[in-house]
Amino acid sequence: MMKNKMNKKAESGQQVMVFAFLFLLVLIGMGIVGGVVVYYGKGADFRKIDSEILNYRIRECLSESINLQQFKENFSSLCSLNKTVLEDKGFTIKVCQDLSPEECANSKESIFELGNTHIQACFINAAENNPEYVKCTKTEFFDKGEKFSIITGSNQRIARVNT
Amino acid sequence: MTIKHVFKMNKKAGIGDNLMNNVVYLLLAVIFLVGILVFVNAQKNNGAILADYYAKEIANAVNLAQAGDEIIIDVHKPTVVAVKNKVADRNEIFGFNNNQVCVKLSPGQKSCYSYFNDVTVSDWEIKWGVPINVLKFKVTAKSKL
Repeated sequence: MMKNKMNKKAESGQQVMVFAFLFLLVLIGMGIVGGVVVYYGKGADFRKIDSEILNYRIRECLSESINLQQFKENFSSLCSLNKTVLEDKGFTIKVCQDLSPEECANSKESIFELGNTHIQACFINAAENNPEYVKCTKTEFFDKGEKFSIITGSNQRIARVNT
Repeated sequence: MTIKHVFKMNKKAGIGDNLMNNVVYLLLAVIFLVGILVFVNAQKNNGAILADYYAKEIANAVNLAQAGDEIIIDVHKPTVVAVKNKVADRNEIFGFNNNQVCVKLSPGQKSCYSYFNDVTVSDWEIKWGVPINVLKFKVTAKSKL
C-alpha cells in the first residue's frame, strides 16, 4: 500500500514536469515568433536609397546644365524627373548656391525647391531612427567654381491595392 | 516469488516508464520544431512582403536607368510564390503604369511603388526557366506629343 502511494507521488511529479517542459516550449516559441514578426513585419525601407538616387540625379543634371536659369525653368525635363510623382509621393528637394546643407535648409533663398515636407526635419538627429520621418540625403559639391548644396528627402510608402 | 524477483520486475517497469517519458518529450519537441519551421518559412515566403520588396527593388532599377536601357532582373522567388498562391494570370504578376510598378503575388492584392525617373517602361515580360525566371523590360524616353 505504501509502495503504491509512493508510485502515485512519483507519477504526479512526472506529470508536473510535462507542464514545465510545455511552458518552456511556449516561452521559446513566443521569442522566435516575436523575432520573426519584428524582422519580416516592418518590410524593407527603401526611402534612404530613393533620396540618394534622387540626389545623385539632381547633382548630375545640375553639372550638365548650361546655366542656373535653364536648370530652374526646365528642371523636370532637363533632369528627366517626373514632377507629379515627386509632388504626390512625399519627395522633398531643395537646391542652394553658396550655402552649406544646413544653412540651405533654414534659408529662404534657393535655386530650386519642391515638396511639402519641412526640409528642417532632415537635420533632426532623433528623426533618423523614427520611421515616421522623411529619409534624407544632403550633399555639397563644387561645379564650375560654384558651391552647391542639394537636400533630397523621400517619404514614399508602398501602396497595397486590392484587385 | 522472492524479494529479488520483485525488484527485478520493478526495474524493468522503471525502464519502460522512462522510455515512454522520453518519447513523449521528444515528440513534443519535434512537433514544436516543425511548427516553428513552418511558421518561419511561411513568413519568409509571405506574398505581401515579397511583393513590397520587389516593387521597391524594380522601381529603384528604373530610377537608375537611362532611356535605351534594357533591364533583366532575377524574379525567380516571387514568381514561384505567385504560382504557389495561384495568381491566375501570370502576365499580371508584374505591371508598369503611370510611373508606377505593381507586383501581384497573391490573388486580390498587389503592391505598387512609384519611380520618379520620367521614362516609359515597355515590352516587359517574364522569361520562365532560363534557367531561372527573369523579368525583362525596356526603358524608353517619354514621347512628348
